Amino acid sequence: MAAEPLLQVRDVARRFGGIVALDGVSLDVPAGIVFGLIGPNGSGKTTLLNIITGFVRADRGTVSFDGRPIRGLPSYRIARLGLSRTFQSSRCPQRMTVMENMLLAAANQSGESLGAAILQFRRVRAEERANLERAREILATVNLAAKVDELAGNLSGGQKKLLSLAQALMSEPKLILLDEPVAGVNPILVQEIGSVIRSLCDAGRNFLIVEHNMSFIRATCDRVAVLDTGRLIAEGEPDEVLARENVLRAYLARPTAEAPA
Amino acid sequence: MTEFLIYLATTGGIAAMLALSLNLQYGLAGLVNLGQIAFFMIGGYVSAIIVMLGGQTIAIGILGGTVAAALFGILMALPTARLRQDYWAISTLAAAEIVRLFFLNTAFGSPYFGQAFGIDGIPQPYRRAFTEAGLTTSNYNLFYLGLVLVSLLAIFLILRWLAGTPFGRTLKAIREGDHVPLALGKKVSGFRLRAMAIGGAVGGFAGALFAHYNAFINPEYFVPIETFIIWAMVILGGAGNFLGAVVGTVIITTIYNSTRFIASFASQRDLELTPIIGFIFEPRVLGPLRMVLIGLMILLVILYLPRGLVPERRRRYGR
Amino acid sequence: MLQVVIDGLIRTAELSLIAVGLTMVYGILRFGNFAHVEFATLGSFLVLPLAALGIAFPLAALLAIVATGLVGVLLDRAIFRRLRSAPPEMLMIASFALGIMIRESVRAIWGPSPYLYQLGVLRPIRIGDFGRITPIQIGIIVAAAVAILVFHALLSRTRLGTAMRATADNAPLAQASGINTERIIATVWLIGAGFGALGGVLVGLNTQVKADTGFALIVEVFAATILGGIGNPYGALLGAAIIGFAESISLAINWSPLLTWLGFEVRGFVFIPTGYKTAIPFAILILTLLVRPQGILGARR
Ligand SMILES: Nc1ncnc2c1ncn2[C@@H]1O[C@H](COP(=O)(O)OP(=O)(O)O)[C@@H](O)[C@H]1O
Ligand SMILES: [Mg+2]
Repeated sequence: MAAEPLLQVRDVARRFGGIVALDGVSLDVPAGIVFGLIGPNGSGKTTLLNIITGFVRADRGTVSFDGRPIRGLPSYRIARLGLSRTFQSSRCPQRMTVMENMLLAAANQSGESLGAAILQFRRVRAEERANLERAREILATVNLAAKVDELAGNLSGGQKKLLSLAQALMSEPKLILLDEPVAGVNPILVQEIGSVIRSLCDAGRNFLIVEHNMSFIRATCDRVAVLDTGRLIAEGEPDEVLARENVLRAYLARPTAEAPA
Repeated sequence: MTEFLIYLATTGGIAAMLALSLNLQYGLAGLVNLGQIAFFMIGGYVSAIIVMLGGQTIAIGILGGTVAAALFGILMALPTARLRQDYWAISTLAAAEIVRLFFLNTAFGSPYFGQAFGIDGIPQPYRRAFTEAGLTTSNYNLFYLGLVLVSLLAIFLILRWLAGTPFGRTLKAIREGDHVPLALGKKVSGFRLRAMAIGGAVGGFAGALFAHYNAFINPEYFVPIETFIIWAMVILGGAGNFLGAVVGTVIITTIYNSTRFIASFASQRDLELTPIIGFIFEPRVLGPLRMVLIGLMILLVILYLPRGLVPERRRRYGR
Repeated sequence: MLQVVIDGLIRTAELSLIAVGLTMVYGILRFGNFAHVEFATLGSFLVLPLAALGIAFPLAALLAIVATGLVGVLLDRAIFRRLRSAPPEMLMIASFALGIMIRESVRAIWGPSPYLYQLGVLRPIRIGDFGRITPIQIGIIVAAAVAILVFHALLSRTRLGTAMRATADNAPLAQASGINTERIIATVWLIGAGFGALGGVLVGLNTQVKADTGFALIVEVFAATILGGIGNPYGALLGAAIIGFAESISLAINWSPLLTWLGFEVRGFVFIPTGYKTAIPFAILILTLLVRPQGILGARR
């Protein structure tokens, strides 16, 4: 195992008015594995992802990624460092087609600058062609190849989640954060998403996944951490952690959350 | 009648530029700019001032007006990152009114230059050459129509091309919210800034062309309702489609100027015979009624045809 | 100085009534209704035919206010209800179009010249040496104060008020707990448009009845609403007071000490030219949005 974890969260805290969303969370996400983050509804998982990716400011604590402190950087800068994320309610632009969504996601496009779009159109065109090829490959791995010209708004809920994942992959990130990638997805597609993530991990991609679906977590993650009311209460191998009594209690204490199955 | 049609086509062509500019801002980038008319005003005033008070050529005046409006666009874009969409929209309306109040209350040099009086005697490009060659005003108006249409075509092609570049694609993503583009590493504020700068430049250019065509401008020309008419053009034509903006301009310009057509159709006696129709066709009634009609059309389009007459096209990549 | 206070109070009365309606509709439907100010125009004009029938002015005004409230409900049913799931910018544009339709219909029906309410001649009352106030102006301030107090009682003391606040807070939750949200929405339109109409009648009383009454106030009303935190009726009152007094005070102030202090060379008194009066609320709006985008009473997001 590498000496330095890929993502390091230290003592991060955040309140919203009277609500303590995160209360001193520290977490190390090493490279080379699929890391799961679970916890009942409202335990602060999304808030933690938002803080890591610069969408929400932390009240205190530090976050570093790939050896660099990133707390306080604007979110687009954090993304450019190789930290890509999806959103819990998948929000990829609905009035753009699947392929437009994918091309949008490519990093370092010179055609985004007006000067280059006008003066270096050859280079821009070559980039577009290369990105198009890569997008087709990624869409094939997530089984969306047949949908390239479909508007994202017309996809099913599961397909939207897959598109978000594919978008995240398109930017060639060092770490991918997924917020509930299989919530509301039919069981067959859940398995499929799980195996896509596993094979991507074996191919060298790193993941931090927030999820509720316990069988998905067991099948996909190498390691899990458990959040409860803003604190980490357990961390370790999925089977062992999910059997711990305090983890069970955290889930059972909330009638709304599904208990680990 | 032909004279009037040429006038209509020229001002319509200029309005189409404003619609294209708004389509870039709203149709592509989702920016609800309710102060579009300010670009037009700044372009016209700055160009006229540069030429008449600065003694520069008309070309430099038009360039100055274009740049000034682009800078104003950048200024308007600055708070977008921190403001909610509806707050920003109302502040664009306020910003445009501040610009108008500025020109309404400022005299440049003499009391007859600026303020409520406006600016009169704005020079027209190549006008003297036409007179010296013994050509008529009609000839000149035809020439100006050509100038406007060529400029319009150029703006149309450039903006449509821009929409297809990675730059335009990112704007389309931004119109549906900041989160996804930010998470994909796009500096959203920078994109909005550039969209507003380009929109401002096109609007300012149109304003300068108008000032040098009409030879007279006045703060009354730039009231908020004018912005709404441009909106009507874009919504009716189909937001996100540049051809739609032009189609919308043609339809709205026709309705807007229909008063004069109708007046020449119906004879006075017809109007006196039927009291209701006579009432409707009274100019003081007809003027407001055409605005009601435009408003109604927009509502119907939003309710029943939300993508407009010429819907946005998707680029196809399927093999 | 007293005159400044009287002017400020009257402006506050007019603005707050219109702003309260705007902010209430926003609180529930989450869009800035650009047509809202036209309820003021419509209300002020509907008084005219009623008064022409010989109905006493207060009753005519009340009927006009109720009628305008019903128009608000009707417009929601016909237009905004069909757009509940549309993106907010579509609602904004639809309301802008609707506003123009109302305003221009008024202009088509009543013509371009302004009207005056026929109330007979009432002598202004002198207050000391410094100010004068007409009985009409006293009536304006009293009417607005009464309306606001009734509104406050409604919001805080009745079940309807509780249901309205619950719906504004979280519509799906309110519906789940048995509140008929569509009925609440209709009530909010009724009250909001009615208050707007009252505001318009007051403007008409103070000055003239004009087709532009509402639209001329649009930035002031939005500024008041945003200043107080959009969706918050009490905030709208505060915002209206700030805008109302800022207009009259900033014109009455001699700015030369400030300019001298800032290092400018100043001779004599410096007043803001009255031509810029209308620019004052616009500038306040923009400054507020730059400094505190969520408004004064709005919660930080
Ligand atoms: N923007 C916000 N404003 C106010 N409260 C928030 C905000 N975001 C999250 N919260 C609160 O913080 C707590 C944690 O929320 P969240 O991180 O979304 O939990 P999870 O993703 O684990 O379900 C919840 O109580 C939630 O209501
Ligand atoms: Mg969550």
